[in-house]
Amino acid sequence: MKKFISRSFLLFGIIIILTKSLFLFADNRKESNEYMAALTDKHDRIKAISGRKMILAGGSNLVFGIDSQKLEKEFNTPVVNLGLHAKLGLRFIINELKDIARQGDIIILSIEHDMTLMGNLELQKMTSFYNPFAAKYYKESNDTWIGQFMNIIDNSHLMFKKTISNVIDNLKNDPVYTRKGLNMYGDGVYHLDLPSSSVLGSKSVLKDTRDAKLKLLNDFYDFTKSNEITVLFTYGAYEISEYKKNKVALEKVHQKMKQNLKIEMITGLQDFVYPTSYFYDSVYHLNKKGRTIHTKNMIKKISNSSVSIILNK
Amino acid sequence: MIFNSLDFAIFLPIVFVLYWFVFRNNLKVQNLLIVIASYVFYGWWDWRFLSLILFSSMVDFCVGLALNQSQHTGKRKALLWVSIIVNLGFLGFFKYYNFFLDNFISAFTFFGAEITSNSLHIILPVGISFYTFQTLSYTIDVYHNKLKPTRDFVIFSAFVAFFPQLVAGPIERATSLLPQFYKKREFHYNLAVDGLRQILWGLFKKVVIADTCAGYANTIFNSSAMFSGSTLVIGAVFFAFQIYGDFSGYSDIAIGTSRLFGFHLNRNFAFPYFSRDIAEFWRRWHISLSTWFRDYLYIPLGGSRGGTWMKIRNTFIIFIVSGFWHGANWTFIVWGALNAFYFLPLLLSGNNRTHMQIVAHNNFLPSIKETTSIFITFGLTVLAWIFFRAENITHAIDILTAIFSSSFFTYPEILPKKIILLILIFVSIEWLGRKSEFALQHINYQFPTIPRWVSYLWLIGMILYFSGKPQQFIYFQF
Repeated sequence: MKKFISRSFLLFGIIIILTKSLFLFADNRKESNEYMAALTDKHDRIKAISGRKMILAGGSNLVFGIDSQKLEKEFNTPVVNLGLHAKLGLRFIINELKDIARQGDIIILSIEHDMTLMGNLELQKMTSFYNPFAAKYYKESNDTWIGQFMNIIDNSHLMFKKTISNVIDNLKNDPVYTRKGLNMYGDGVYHLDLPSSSVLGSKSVLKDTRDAKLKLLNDFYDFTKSNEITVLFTYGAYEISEYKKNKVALEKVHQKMKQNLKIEMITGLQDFVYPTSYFYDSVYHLNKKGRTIHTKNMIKKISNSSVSIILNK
Repeated sequence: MIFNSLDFAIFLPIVFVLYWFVFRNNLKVQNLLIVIASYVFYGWWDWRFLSLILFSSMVDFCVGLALNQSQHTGKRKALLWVSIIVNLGFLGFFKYYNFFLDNFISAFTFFGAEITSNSLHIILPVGISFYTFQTLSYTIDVYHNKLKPTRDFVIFSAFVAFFPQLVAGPIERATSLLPQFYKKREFHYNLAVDGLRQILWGLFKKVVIADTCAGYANTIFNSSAMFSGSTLVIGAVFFAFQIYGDFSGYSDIAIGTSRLFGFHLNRNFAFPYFSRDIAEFWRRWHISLSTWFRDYLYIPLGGSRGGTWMKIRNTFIIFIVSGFWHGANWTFIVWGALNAFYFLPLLLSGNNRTHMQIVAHNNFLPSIKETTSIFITFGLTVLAWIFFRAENITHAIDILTAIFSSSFFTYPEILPKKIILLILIFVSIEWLGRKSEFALQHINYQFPTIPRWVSYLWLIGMILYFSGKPQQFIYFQF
């Protein structure tokens, strides 16, 4: 038994020492060039704006599809593009908005069709690893010693995985998906001069599962109303063949949304559906040409909405 | 609580320390500790499920004692039926109620009758199919006087709920597991180390192989309509490795954990994908279930002793029931029937026991004939897995139609080369260790200490690297 216990401890000790040594090669979380670390920059920009602002919230369709500077000039209001990743989930994004939006702000929710309510837990953990403040957007705060212990374990595990993948995939890091690939507004810009991919990613068969999301969105509307925040809803940019494939399910969802959503919808189902040649690497990510047209369309839709009265004041 | 979770990583050492350091000299308390630990392990999912397992244990314990006291054939039969009805009643209600209700309504609607009824929102208790079969085997064995019933309820509860194998097997026979609770357990260094190695290999299979393959298999199966035949084949092959890694990984962890506590569980998988025909495959896949059905269903039905029609009937019954055991869906029934079709020619021609030893037992590599047989058997198995994984029969047929079309010859849309390389490494390790109980058992025994420890660290590193959110084991749903 003694031999078994001593050898178990020895193995455990070696694992700890090796892991700790590996962490010497880990990058500094605060200065990391990791894509998800860009959330800190976006929040810093929000904090730096004292008055009314326009917040674009949603997934990566916003990162690739919007020229925030144009929106800012058009509406003479500072814009923050908060979009980052659809897999963070709607609950995460809404909790984030509740945390940062202030009286007078205008929120444009641009949601991908395949965004789920709860999102992907691992991505959420990864996001809060680089942006510790984001933990409260997907889990209940747990300040007990167990909660803190679990956080340490989670973070060590993530750091281990990240360090290993940085070593393995260092040469493969796509600069488009890095923190530096985004400009001061939070828009992705690195991809603008790159050729589009021959095969688009994020293709999926969609199902009608929006009921829980509708409730969350309506609750959020009540929150914005009581805090004098304006919120508009739009679908994200979407590639045409994917739209055709999923048309039946999407129409069902859209009818439900039209009937039940309290938030003002500024687009129809097809308004932001674009040809394949407008897309960069996925059915939600626009290229330079697509981005220009989509930004123009977005400006038009916002101008035609009830928000225009506030913006013209 | 699942094996690949932090909860279990904390739970196991605590139970281990209490078991060997605190209660080492008291067998009764050790058994009680196993019961309590098993109930905590099971209640971690949902404490309400504990009432089921407790009730089932009480019924079978009492039936066992009553069977021992009675010599009257009619009364003994009645007692056996009480156990069968209670156990299969639970299983039928929780697992099959909605299936039968829906099919009953569909049948009447087909004939023009209008019946409306609401399905119940029933939560399937984890592992119910496993422990009900385990307790059933106890009552049947006592009924046939193959086993003396236990008079110790703690021991019986420990046998039913023994946490390493409670939720996904191996389904242990009372004749094998129950006597082990009566014996004083001694700690054996080699046995414990062997257990840890098996746990390590099981975790590797689950976390690295099964969960990684699951990501691709799920993407391809969930959106099968948009993929070519070649991609669908890749999806089906990935699913084959997912289910093998998942289920045999669980069994390895279960057997390894039992070894840490001085118990021996029966082998559940014996390198099934190296089988040269379907009969061999079924001797190597989910052995504890196959032998359960053989002993408690196939043989009582007459087995293969009768004429040709009886053989055919019994083969179909056992495979279809086995399919249905996996879940309340027609896909599982078709999967079972398909395997019966594969198996029958071997049975009828008397070739079902041709390959009893592991392939290339005396050689390093298989012959061309053996390699061809392995590939054909694997291909047939993968074809059947399509039904197992599909959402419904139409879905499976759509996938098969796409596979047997010209799109089979196109370049697949999804071809994860790194993962395929990983699977090849995994298959190679399994091949090297195929003569042992589990692949890692003897492969690196001949290594000096440092390379051996490096190989452990490599496996641990891979498990940590590939692990994310702990994924449920597929077989928990059965």
